[in-house]
Amino acid sequence: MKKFLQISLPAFFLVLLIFYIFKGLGPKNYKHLNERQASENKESFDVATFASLPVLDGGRLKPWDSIARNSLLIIRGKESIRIEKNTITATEWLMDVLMNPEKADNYPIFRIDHTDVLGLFGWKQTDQKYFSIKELQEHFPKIDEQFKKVNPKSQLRNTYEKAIVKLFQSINIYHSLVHSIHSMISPGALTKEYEAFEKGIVEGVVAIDLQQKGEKFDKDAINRFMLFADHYLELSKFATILTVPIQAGKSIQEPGEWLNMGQALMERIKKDRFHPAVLLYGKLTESFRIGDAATFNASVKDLKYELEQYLPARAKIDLEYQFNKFAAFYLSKIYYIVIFVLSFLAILFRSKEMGKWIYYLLLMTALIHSVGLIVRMYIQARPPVTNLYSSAIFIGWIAVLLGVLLEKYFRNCVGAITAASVGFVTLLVAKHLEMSGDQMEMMRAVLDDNFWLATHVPTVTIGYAATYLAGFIGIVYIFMGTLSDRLNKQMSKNLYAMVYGITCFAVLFSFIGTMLGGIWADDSWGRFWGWDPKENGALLIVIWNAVMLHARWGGFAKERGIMVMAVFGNIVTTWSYFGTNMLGVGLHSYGFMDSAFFWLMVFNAVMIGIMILGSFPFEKWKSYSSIRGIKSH
Amino acid sequence: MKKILKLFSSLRLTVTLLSLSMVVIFFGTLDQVEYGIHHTQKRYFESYFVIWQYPEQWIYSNILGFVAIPMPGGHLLGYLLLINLLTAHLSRFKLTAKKLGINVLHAGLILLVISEFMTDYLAIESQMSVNEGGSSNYTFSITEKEMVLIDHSDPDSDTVYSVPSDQLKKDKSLNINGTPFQINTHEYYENSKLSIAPPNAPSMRIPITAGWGENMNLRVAEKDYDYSDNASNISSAIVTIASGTQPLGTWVLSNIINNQLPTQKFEHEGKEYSIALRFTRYYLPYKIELIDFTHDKYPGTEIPRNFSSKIRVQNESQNDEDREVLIYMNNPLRYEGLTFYQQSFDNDETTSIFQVVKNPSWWMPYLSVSMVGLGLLIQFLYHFTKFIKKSAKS
Repeated sequence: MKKFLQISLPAFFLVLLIFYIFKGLGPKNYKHLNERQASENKESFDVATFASLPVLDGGRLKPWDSIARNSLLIIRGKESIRIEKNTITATEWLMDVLMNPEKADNYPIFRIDHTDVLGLFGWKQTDQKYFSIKELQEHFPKIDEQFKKVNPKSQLRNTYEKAIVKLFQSINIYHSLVHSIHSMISPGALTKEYEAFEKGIVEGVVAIDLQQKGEKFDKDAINRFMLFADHYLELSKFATILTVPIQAGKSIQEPGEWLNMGQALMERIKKDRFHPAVLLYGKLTESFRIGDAATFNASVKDLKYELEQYLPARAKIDLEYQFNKFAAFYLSKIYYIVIFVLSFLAILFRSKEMGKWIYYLLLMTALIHSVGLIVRMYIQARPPVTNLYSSAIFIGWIAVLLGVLLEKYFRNCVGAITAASVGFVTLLVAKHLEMSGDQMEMMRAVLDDNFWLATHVPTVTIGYAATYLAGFIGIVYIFMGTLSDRLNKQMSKNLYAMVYGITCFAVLFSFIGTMLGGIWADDSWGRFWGWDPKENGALLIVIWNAVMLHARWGGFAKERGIMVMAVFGNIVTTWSYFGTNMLGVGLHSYGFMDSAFFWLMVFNAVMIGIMILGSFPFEKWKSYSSIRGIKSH
Repeated sequence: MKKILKLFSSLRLTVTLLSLSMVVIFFGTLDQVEYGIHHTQKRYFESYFVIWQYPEQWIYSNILGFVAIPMPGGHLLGYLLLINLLTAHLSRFKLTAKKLGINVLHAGLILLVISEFMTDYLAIESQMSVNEGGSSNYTFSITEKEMVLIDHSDPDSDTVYSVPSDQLKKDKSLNINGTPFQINTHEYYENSKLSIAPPNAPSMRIPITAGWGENMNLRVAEKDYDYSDNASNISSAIVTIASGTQPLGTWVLSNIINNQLPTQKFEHEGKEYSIALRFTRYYLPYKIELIDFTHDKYPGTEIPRNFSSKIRVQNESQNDEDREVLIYMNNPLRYEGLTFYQQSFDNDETTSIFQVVKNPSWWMPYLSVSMVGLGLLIQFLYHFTKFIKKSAKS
């Protein structure tokens, strides 16, 4: 490869990355929403302020933006919608759902893949994978009926049952959203409706009072009042997102008291005025529907000011919105691919020059990954690993940091290529896990202990990360040696040293982490060791690393043997990390996963394949002569 | 002799044993899905030998059902590893800086394996269930059962005679020491179903002549034992109690009767006795009163945020000790060699259930883990600094 390309290619990506960082920090253009009223009115909707309005959902204060992304990810599997070459962002979609459901009802967002579910509605498997709520509406009774028949034990459900549950939950989420910021009687004239309700309360109360005294009363007044009250009561049952605060929060853990819109409307019966948030959400909806951006923007600012009075001092709603927008993990994921490809080329063309630039690129990407991880910790006010999702991000992060270290000392691009692989795969897994809901959810009682979350969990997770990294270096060694002649004596010696060092590191962390877990278990359940699947899984990693080290010291496994064993470490770690969660038994099964079983098996099969490849007689390896130091050409 | 020592202290044995322990742990984990943790723990980890059988519940079990893998059990591997470690270190022990970490680490490991044995042999796990406003002076096992005969003749305190349920064997009789009674066991089922037969139904092999069994015309049928962790197995026994050669009656005993019906009683020579089959109780010389149980959830959700029990410990044998304690998640009460942990709750959050553990060797893992951790750290830092120095030179 030309020298010029070797430098300019990585340098180009580095510049591009810096450009993306600044772009990500800047304002976002919401094209879809603003095209509509651009002709009438130059002012555009203040989407950013709306997206950063706080709500209470799942016990956690968060911006609407997070709800939008999470919901669309669960329902559609993606954070945006494409309709006829137009891309609608999650936030834009949410605003339509909340304030203009008649329009949103037509968006094809419900992803249905399962043939039997499609068949249930009389649909064939065609190119259409996404359906709108309008198309599904007539089939609600069937979905309901099927949902009731689903096996109550979630780990025993088959793929059809899982698909039904997912569809049912998606529809519920959608309905909950639709009912969360205003009454559904007259979404276009909410101010009038609420005034009518206030009048109805006064007249209704008088009439009921008269009725109870046995005097003559206005029956229509009672009926009018009941009509509203019934509807608002219904609304309060649908809406799970709490949008109206009535008591200020003290901390992230104690977010204060919030009501959903139905409850907040009903509150008016007891109080002499509506909560300002009720009226402002009404105003927002009205102005949004007619494209009146000026009124919308003024109201949304008032509303934000109003809601912020109730936030506890350490809530980081705006930061969370910025964090979502910046998408640090997405950016890192893309760049791990770039680094992977560039490192591959560098190894292929034996380019030292390129390696230097790749190192900087890896450093930069690791930095973005770190920023994402740290900001997430700061928002949640928790240690780095709180659930399966964050553990994936953490494993990737640790592997990348170790990769940076390896690259610093060895400069052979192997650290970079393995770090990028682990980083990419873990972030991909994280993205997939995100589809099951909010990943900054509140911690269950047993886990709600920052001391152990900050010690046991990260330590044991670092052990996972290190074992994976060693395993991936093993893969690089085997591929390089068998499929190319690039594995020379020095390279082979270096890789061996890398795997050995990392395995020592892994044994240190996985042992200490596992044992800290024992101490935590002793502290909260009264037993140091309970032979629970997750504990056993962690123990397997410790033992496997110990087996590797002892096999090396005893001389039972040499360079190649250790590499093959390191690859097996990937299987052991994946079993401990994911496999045990699929068993659904024991005290640790909170990290339960739905159905990654297939991918787990694929992964294992690939690893076994690589191990077999690595066990081929040495003489058959393409790098045989270069390892032996014989010049083949 | 030298050869044997060499074999037992060899690294090859270490690697073999460690690899085998991985196999046991893996299959011992798999079997938990079907048989629950408790049963699997006994079978795989507290045994000398075990055979894994392809589970019926898995796919292709009609073809692969014959697959069975024999393997050494946890205790056997534990003892062998212990011998391996001890002999290796005794025969090759060297006190050098290079080996310091390794020595500390392995000494810690030896202690850790011993502590796991001690726990297996010495620890007793039980539970205590207390209602709000009520108190309890005993804990009960959730796996072991006992048949009890209680003498109520002393107005101040009852005398409890206990027979562990594993001594109740079909058609065997045994004396209850300290009483004039013998029990003759006709049937004993670990899990069973009790039903009420119509009045004209044919009588059973052994006619029931006393207690609820007679009054309600009960029938007992054996059921497969349910190994799952939250299973509620109903143990039942049909026993005849006799004094000398004179039978006093044949009863149906079952732990389900205790929960739902008043205790079964009989009289003999002017004394009143009651009999029952129940989860084995361990009496304490003090009592624990539950003042209040609270269960907080995160607002607007069902996610539990905290469970806590405000309790009062009253101990007459300890200078009339009387104090209030708050037990909550990750914050147990350690008292008189027992540790009380918040386990769960019942009856609409008015009953608190504690896990009660007696483990005299609870401190051992703390020590051994610290030693291993320290050893690993020393060893790792020793090599890491060497590596850094080397790469700084080159």
